[in-house]
Amino acid sequence: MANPLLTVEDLNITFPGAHGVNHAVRGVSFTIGHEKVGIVGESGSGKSQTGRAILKLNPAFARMEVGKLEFAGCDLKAASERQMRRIRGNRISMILQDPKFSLNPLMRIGAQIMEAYRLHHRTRIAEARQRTLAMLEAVQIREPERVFNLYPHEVSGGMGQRIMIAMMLIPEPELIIADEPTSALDVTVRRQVLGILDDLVSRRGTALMFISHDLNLVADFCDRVLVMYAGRIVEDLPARELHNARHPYTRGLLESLPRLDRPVELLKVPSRDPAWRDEPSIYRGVTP
Amino acid sequence: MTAAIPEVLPAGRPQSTPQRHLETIDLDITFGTGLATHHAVKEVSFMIKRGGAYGLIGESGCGKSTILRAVAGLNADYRGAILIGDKEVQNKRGKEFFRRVQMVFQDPYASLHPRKIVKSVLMEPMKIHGFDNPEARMARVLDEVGLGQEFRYRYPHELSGGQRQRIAIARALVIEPEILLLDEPTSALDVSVQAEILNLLKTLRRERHLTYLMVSHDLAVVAHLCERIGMMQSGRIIEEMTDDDVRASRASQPYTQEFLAASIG
Repeated sequence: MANPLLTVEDLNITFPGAHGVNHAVRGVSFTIGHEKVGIVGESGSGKSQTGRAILKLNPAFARMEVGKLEFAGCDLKAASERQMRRIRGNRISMILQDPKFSLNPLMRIGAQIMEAYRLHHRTRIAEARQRTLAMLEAVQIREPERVFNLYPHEVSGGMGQRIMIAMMLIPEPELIIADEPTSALDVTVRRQVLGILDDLVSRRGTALMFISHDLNLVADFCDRVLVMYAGRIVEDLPARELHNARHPYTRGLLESLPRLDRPVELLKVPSRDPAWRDEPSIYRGVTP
Repeated sequence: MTAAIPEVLPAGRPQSTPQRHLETIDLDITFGTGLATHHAVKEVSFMIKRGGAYGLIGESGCGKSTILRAVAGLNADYRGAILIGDKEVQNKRGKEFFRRVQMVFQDPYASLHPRKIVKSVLMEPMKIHGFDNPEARMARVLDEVGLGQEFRYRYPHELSGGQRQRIAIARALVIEPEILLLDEPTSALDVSVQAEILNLLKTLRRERHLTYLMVSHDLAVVAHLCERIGMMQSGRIIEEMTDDDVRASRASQPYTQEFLAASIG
């Protein structure tokens, strides 16, 4: 890509521990343009840490080393904490997994969304309120006026996640990092929430980094998929090509899923090879 | 007149078949009183044959776990009848019931005692039910769930999620139950580990002729393990299907059709 929005080169994250150093992310490099990129992998593969590293939100005891971290011409690697605060939420925002834990339980929903907007835009309260109500409507909340005055515990999980999407979209960021945004939701609600997110992201031309463990969901929803294993990107391929994946790990993951259209007696369990950690990643079906 | 407990069967019900293993008749569960009453399960009846596997699916809050907890004896406050074999069980269960019916919970991180090693986890149920040869039985059950003997002396925090769920299954199996109640046994696990646990459950069922009652929101998982599936919506089973019906998307209720479509994606 000629001019990527986000460039990450040689990202390493380590956690010093009592039993030696845990190398969570090992030399990950990728770029994101104005597209929807899915990052898939199992727990412990480093996908969430990679997402957090972009906003420098890793826990304080984690050590992060990166060759290059650039966002829209802005060097995030050198950015101070003060500069990062102006980027977080405003230009890059993050949607988290569970609205139950990510919304402030003591603030009314409307006030939380208005706060997200007014932190980055100097406007009058009345205008922020109008925008908040319009945003609630955009995420298909039927009675925005009523929901505006509710507390987070008074809404369902699916509505909570839509409120979080509204909150993350209202400052009009250029990149959204969504960390398992639908895994706490039911299948029927999941579709609706994804539909809303897809609609808003494509309409505004926002880039999306979608972190998930669900391969099929990512294949349906994203344009491009990065597969992570043991802190490495083992494969990078267009989402519609996922079912022709080349890497044995990606293939293994796909085959281990029970499928409605292909009943089997016993499922295949993916094998793992420690050598995959050191091999270069397969890019669009080509081994470099 | 004798003091024996009569085997009450509601009138008008078909007579029992010899294969019937687990049945609920008009199971009805409410929580709370007055204005706060929540009618969680409404007149649910289903029957599982010996060696069968029945899956309950539905969105969260539809009452599927509530049914499982009532069957398991964790909630004695229900109306209607639960039958094991041909006998109705009392709301307050006896020891014999727990030897025949065991449960595996959703989250293996929460269902094992953090201060107990695997050995004491597996020994306790055998001690309660007075089994002989506990050491040999423990060795066998560890073997069956695919863990080595060295796992005896581990604490839960020394095990991965998949290994923990294997220990939870071993704990349920060690007293040789006939019926296993499975509450989302793989939803907290990664896909590769999910495949291992589903394979284990399938093999154990065949080898031990177990009867399964499973609750899940993942249609593909339920169809993989169960041959009969009950679709639930707001406390009722609105439709019963076979796994072939699910695979072919044959459903008569609009809600079921919508659920199937959303799951297939």
